[in-house]
Amino acid sequence: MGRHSYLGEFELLVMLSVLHAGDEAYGVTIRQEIEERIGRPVSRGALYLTLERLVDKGYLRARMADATRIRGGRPRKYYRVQRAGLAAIRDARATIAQMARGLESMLRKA
Amino acid sequence: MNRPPPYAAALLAALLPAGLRDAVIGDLAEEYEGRAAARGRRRAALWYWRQTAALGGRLVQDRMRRAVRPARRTPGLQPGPGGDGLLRTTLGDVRFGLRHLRRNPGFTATAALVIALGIGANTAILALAHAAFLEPLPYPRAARLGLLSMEFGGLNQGGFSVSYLDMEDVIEGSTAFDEVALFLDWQSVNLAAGGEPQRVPVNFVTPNYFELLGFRAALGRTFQPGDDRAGGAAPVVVLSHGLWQRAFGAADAVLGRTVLLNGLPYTIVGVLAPGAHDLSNRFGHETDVYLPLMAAPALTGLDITERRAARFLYALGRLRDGVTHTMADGQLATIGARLAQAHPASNEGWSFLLRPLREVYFEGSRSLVLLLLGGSLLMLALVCTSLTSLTLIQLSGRTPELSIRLALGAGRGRVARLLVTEAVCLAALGGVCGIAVASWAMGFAGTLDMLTLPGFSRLQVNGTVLLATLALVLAVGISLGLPPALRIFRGGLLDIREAGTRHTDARGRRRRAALVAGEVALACMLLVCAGLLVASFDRLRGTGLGFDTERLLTVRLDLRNDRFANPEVVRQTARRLVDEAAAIPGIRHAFLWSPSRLGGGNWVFFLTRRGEYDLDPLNRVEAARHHIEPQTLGRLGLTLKAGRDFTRTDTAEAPRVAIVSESLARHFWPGEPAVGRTLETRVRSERVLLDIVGVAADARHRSRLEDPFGAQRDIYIPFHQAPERFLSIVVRFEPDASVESLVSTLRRRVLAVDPTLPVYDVQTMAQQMRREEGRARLSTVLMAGYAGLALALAVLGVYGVLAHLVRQERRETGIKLALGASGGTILRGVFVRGFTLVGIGVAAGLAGALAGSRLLDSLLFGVDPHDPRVFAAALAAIVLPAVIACLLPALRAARASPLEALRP
Repeated sequence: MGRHSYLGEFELLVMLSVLHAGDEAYGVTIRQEIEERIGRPVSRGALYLTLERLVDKGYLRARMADATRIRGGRPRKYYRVQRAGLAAIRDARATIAQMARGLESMLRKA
Repeated sequence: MNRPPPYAAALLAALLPAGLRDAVIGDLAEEYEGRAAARGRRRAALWYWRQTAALGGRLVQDRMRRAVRPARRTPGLQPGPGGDGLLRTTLGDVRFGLRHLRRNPGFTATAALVIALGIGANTAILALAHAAFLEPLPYPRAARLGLLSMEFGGLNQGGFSVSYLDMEDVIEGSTAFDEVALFLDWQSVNLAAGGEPQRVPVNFVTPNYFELLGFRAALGRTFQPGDDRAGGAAPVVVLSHGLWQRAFGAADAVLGRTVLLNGLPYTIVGVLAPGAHDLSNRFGHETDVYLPLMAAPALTGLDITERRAARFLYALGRLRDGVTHTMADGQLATIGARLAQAHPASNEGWSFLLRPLREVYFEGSRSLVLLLLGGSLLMLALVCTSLTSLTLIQLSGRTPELSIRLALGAGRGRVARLLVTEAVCLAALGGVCGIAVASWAMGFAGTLDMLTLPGFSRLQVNGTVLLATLALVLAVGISLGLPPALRIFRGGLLDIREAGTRHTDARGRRRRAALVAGEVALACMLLVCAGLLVASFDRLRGTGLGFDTERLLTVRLDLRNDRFANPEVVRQTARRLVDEAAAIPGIRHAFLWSPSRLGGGNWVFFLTRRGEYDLDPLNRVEAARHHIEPQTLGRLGLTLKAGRDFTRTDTAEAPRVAIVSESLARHFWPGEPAVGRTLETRVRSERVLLDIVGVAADARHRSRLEDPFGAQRDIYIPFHQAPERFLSIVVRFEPDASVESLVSTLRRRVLAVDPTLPVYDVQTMAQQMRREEGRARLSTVLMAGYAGLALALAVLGVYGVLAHLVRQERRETGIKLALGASGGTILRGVFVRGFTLVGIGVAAGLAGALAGSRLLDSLLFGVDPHDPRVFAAALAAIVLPAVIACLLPALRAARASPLEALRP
């Protein structure tokens, strides 16, 4: 574990999907990214609260834009991964890799 | 564009933190749009509500976690230190309550669903009650306004209209009013203003009408006293704001333009400001065109000023300050009596009726709303009682948990409060779902015929209604939580464990058993009613009209216009219009049939056998008249049972002939042939003899619901012998024809014949039949809903009482088992006791249904209110779930091990 606080599994998923969605990362696309990639439904409540938590931690930055008629005039909230967030993702990956070292034969696909 | 359900969105907005509100609601709106386009609005709305519930739950949880976090360190349920201790412990209780509810999903879902139905029905009806009782009328000093009509011998509470001559005497002789306006607002006319002509509702008014209702002109002026002279009004017209926008593109230059009304020229002098809701709202339509009262004779042919008995008008009066309705009633009674004495021929038995405006608008719905309100409150009370027995059972199941709490030092009051908070959480959960139920139910109520609300009143869940709903939710929560809480508070734990074994509880048990039997009886009765309505609806849908209704389209035309004053012109024009229609590709036949079903049975003859008309008025028979052509009957698919059809030789000059329906023929000449006989009637006070040339099969020309078994008294006469100026043209179109394009072609062809004639009331026979079925469908669905709720309550009640019993008697059961009783004996014992309860309820319910189902008779169509099949089905519907409700606790009792049962 490095200088950053530990990223939970779901937080990690959310961070990665924000990266995947790139410039188009807002609630709808982020959820779609996760659902399409891991094939499992994501609770909206959990997603939005997690996004807010990650913003609080300084891993994501949010920006409001693109209020359209379909959205009832409400803007989208776009998220972008910050330097600290990237570091946290790297740490989380490294932690998993470290813990998995020596278990490769067991974890390899049969 | 589709909008997500507004209540759900508002709920979300209230729950979401400011930082997420726009993002989340916007995202959901975006997805909603996609779903609505792909799968339809209804499913999308359902989806949206589900998301709202899930998100809402998560958000509330999150918020509570934050609020309670600091209090977590204090163990158990001790109130935390500090000023916000109460709030904090309450939040803790709420959190705990929600967790408890989640741990018992079966109970929670059932209870929440039942509460949701109860609260939902109440919210919808409260909204209705708000509209009917509290919403202010959109008129200045509305409380002092009253509508004057007349009644005959105390008959007709709705009131007949008044005559001009009578009103002159009222205005002269009464000091009760500072202003009285006369109006005639139940007619419509043809409007031609350059573009395509249209049919518009019209109101003929005296000039002070506008001032009384506070209607102002947005353009030009309203009427002046000089516009409305007896014996010929100024040819001026005032438009409604809506018509001005629709037909004139909201153009300023409209003032001074001339429009044709029923072919006569009128000059536009004003346009009303928006928001002028005319009194015609009481009939469910907004007026488009206002004319001086004295224009009515020329446009409608009604002789309003000539006879005292010409009661075609209504009067709107404003009471003078200091005059009460009762005082005005007194004055009117005096004037009425004087008029009856002076003009016995026209006024004997007639009296004036003054009703406050609010009553005029809402009197129809008022008693119904009160009835519904009473019914739904009763239902909610039953919901509470049924659920209370369930919460009491839950309480005895929680003895260990609660003992630990009390042992660790939680006060009894503290634990009692926890229980109440839990119940309120449950009620709130049900309440939120209930508001969703209500918004659905109100959409439904909007289509209710009986509840026609005037255009200015909106059916909505506003602040007041929401507040009342909130109060109901709290009341439900407290009534559910209080009984267990009181037990704890009064007796502590001992009481929970010993509950039911003491003597005092036997009475409570008996009372609950009686209640449950009552619930079963109620459910049984409602199931029978629902079953009868379903059977009747099924029957109705399977019943034809007696002629071929497939691909039949009817339209109306109004030839009341100076150019059609000569009957010969009416004949020729009608012939041309029918020929034009028949020539349209896609139309197989076109023929005259006035008024067809569009007339609603309002065209009648009073008939007797020849020479008997003046003998006794009671011998006259009312029969619906149909103005048709040769071959019309054949083209409709109506068979001739005897005699001949009309021919081209039945002209205006030939003797007047008629074809009668079998029922009518049977009424006058039972068992004898009717062809060759003669009927007598009066047309505008003149004696008319009709030779019967044929007898046609009976057909259902009026509502199938109203005369289900007979009285199909119809008389057909040749149009050419009686050319009415209200025409209905009926066409049978080809299977592959598009109705819309047919209608637009038909409109064009009619305009080619006469450019001022609008085609209106365009309806296929299938549409008319569906509308007729709509009301039946509605009452069926409503009754089925009530019956379903009652069934759920009854089954829950049976289960609750029995489960309670089993738990209370587990010690005796244990002893019996230990002494060698078999599981089967125990099972039978519990089951029999439960089923006795059901049996008593069912017997009472069936007896009640047998006695009461006659009341439904007016709603039933071709179904005997004592139909044994329906009773059997209702019996099965209640007995099967009741058996399960009895079996579950019985099985539990039988399966218990003696040791388990004997454990303290």
